[in-house]
Amino acid sequence: MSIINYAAKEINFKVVYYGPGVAGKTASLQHVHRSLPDGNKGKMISLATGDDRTIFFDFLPVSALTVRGFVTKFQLYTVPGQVYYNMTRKLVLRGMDGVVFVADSQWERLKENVESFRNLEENLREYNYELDRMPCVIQYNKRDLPNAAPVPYLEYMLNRRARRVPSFESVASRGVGVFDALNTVSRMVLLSEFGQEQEVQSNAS
Amino acid sequence: MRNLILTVANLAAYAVAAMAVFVLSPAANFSLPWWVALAAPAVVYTLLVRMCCPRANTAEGIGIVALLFVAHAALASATGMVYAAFTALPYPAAFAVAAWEYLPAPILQLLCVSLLVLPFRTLYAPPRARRRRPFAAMSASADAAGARLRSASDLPPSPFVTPDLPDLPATTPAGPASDGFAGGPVSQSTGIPPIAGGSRRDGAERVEEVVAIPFSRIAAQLPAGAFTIPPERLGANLLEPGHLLVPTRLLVPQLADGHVTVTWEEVADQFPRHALAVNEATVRDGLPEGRIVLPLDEVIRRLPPELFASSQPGADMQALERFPLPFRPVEPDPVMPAAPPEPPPAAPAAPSRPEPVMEAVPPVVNGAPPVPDMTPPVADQIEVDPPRPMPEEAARPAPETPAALPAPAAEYIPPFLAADRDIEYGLGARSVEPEVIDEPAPVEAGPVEVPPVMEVAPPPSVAPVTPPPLERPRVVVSHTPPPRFEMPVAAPVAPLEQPAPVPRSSASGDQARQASQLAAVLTPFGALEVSSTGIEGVTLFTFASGALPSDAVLRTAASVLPFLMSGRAPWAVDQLTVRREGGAIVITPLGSVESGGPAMVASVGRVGSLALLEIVCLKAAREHRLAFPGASRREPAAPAAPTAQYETRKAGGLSVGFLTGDLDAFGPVAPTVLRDSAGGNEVCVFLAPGGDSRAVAGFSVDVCRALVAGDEPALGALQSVTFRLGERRLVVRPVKGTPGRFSVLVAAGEAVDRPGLAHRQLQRAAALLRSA
Repeated sequence: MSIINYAAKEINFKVVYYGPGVAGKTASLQHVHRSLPDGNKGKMISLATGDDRTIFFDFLPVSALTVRGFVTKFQLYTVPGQVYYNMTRKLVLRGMDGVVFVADSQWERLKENVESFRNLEENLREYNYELDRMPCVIQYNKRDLPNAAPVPYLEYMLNRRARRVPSFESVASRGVGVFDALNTVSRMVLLSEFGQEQEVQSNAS
Repeated sequence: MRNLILTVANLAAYAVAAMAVFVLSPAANFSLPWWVALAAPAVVYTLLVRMCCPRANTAEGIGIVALLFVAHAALASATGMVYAAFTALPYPAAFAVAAWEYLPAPILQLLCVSLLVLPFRTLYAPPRARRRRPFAAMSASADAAGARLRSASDLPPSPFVTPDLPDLPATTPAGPASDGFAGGPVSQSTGIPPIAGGSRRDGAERVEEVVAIPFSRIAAQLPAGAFTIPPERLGANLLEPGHLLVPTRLLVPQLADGHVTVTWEEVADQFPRHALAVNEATVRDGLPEGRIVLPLDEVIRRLPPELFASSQPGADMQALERFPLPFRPVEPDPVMPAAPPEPPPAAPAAPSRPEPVMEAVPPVVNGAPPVPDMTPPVADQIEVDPPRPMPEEAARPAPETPAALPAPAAEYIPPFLAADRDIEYGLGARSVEPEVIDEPAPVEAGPVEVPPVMEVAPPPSVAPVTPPPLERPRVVVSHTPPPRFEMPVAAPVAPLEQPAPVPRSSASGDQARQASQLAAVLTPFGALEVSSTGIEGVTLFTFASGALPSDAVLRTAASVLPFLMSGRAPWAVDQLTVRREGGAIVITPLGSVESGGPAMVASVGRVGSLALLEIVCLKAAREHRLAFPGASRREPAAPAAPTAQYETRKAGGLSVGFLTGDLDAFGPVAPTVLRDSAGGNEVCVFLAPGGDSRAVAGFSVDVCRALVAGDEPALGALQSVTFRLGERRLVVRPVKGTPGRFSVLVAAGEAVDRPGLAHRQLQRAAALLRSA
């Protein structure tokens, strides 16, 4: 649900990085923060435990394009992946405009991926959101590890819904594929907000 | 019918051969002693049964040999009758000629009987083997029945190969589809192409498709002592030697879950019954939930790739192309290099990665910590440079997100971070919604009250005393005599000296007070059973949540206690964490181990929050030292002394220098590869420049030896051991390598402010080394 500030001519979108614990959500956000020019990003706020596990959420505001005279701003959130922080996850999901599901490609983490994906669907249902109607991409992370499962099988597990969503391979620790996923979900958000008739001006450069 | 024809042809061939040989060279002088006629068939048929019926038990084997022997005697008898008819010999003499006096005849009989039974191999197989006919039939069922056995031997090349990732393009695609993924049973939602299964063969036998799983991948799951033979021989005696056959129909419905299991009953028939040391119900009960977890990589590799092919069209990306890229990094995304660069092994890695500006909340509050500003992100925390500054006002309306929750957001303080508050757990107490944090650690809202501790008078025979029902965590202080545990101390580890009588602060009453105070700090972990145990003069306060077997936890703690002694570790240790596959054990010394401790031992299962447990234990130790300064006195650590001789060696062609850059969470470190003087263990050490790598290597190998010697099947394989003092970290990871490869990976940093990242980086390095 985008928030429009007519006085400031801004539209705020909320994109949530979802997925199981230690899948690479925070690492993705950190790479985005490192890589964007200063003029396009705010401070990244990270609430993590001593073990670097996200305890509440990470937050990164970034600005993007100007569409129809409105500056579009994206607020990027991550959720804690551990199963017992579900209430936090639900809170973070509220009002979101798009989701990046970060999956851990390792064989031994596949079960957690499926559980997290189903948890995402359940939480969205409680807000009467439908994942099929929501901008969503899947980011298969840790593709550089030797025990990574093949992408076709990951797609079979996570991307067989009525509407297949774009998916990307990534290595978040090195920044590979992170912006591909983010740009795609952002474009999907913009498309759902503005449709195809718009006047776009890039603000990034 | 075919078997009958083969039998008749075999008999006819024997008759012709026996007569021809007898007619052509009747006077051949190949006479044998009569007893050879008895011994030779017995030996030959016994060997034949051993080869053809390996799963037959002793009684079945004797029966089959007897049958073959009878067939041999009948054949000799018939041959004797024929010889008697063609010669003037009486029947007994002719029988003697046919049985042993004329050597070609018994040889032909041996050959004939051996060939005679081959068509009926499945008939003289033991009943259990015949029951497996549907599986056995599949071994030869690459015929018209259409069944395909994908065993290890006839597998096509794996359809999936982990990409080298020179570049990672979008894989995407999407479009209308026919099935839904969420919710219901997977089997109803798969939409996968049907698999050949259930076709009929010879009008009777049902032939189905199976997947052959290497037995070595699942052997460790079988309960210890369930079989009388070692796993290697057990695997060789399976129906498909070395492999467990699992029907595909059982696997496919589970594929979408990312987790594939079979029940014991579904595969029990493939195990040799005579090798069972217990009954099958006991085997089933020894498996987790009665199921065997199959290695998913083996399963997927053996399934046809078309099973995972999507018939759905790709996503319409053209509409998205109308929008320019919303985000453009300063530098393009990196790509995976084909081969990692290899810096000189001895060169210290320079911290190269620019750290993002983050407001990371210090997780552990030492001493009198400042209460961090935990207000969730609001607009005034956002800094954006012109020309498009970020808004000054709140980014989102109040009720929409946690970032803008008005009152609750302002109130929210992650409770375990606040030093002056009782510990709470999670967000539930301060949520706008009346929800509670999910299990496994349900904690009620509101300030935590320290539970009353049941002080039990120390009568000798009182078992753990159950307190009255409490809603708050249950604390039981037991004063039973400490159980005896054998200390699995590795050879080079100096045994714990029995300390001189230490002036304990008090007796059991004091221990109860200490235990109750520690338990109060551990409130976030729900109901705990607290006990105090003395091991080798060291008092251990154990906090058991039921996630791990308390006996195994205690034994593990006992095995690493020697390494907490002053001078044993490279520095005094604040906390020691042993990670195993099944969970983690956190040992926090409250006082000098040489002086009898005490130390607290807590554990967490695989799904628990280890980080939270470590934080809480450190906090408990701090409070304990304040409350019981006499009991918690710690001696200063003496410098560590090396216990083994290690020599620097070359990495044997494998450069570990490239890993240095991947371990930047430990600070600047330099790799050293060492091998002990005995030539057995090889250690890859990443230390800050100037560190004594030999001492660290010897210490690390000793730690691994002690924990492997005290291996606990209930806790799973050892993953890592972490020693910490403040921000100092020493992490030891055993690497499962082959001889000549690294066996232990060690990294130490002086200021590891992101221990989680350090752990993951080392985990990743171990995986890379293992695969190198």
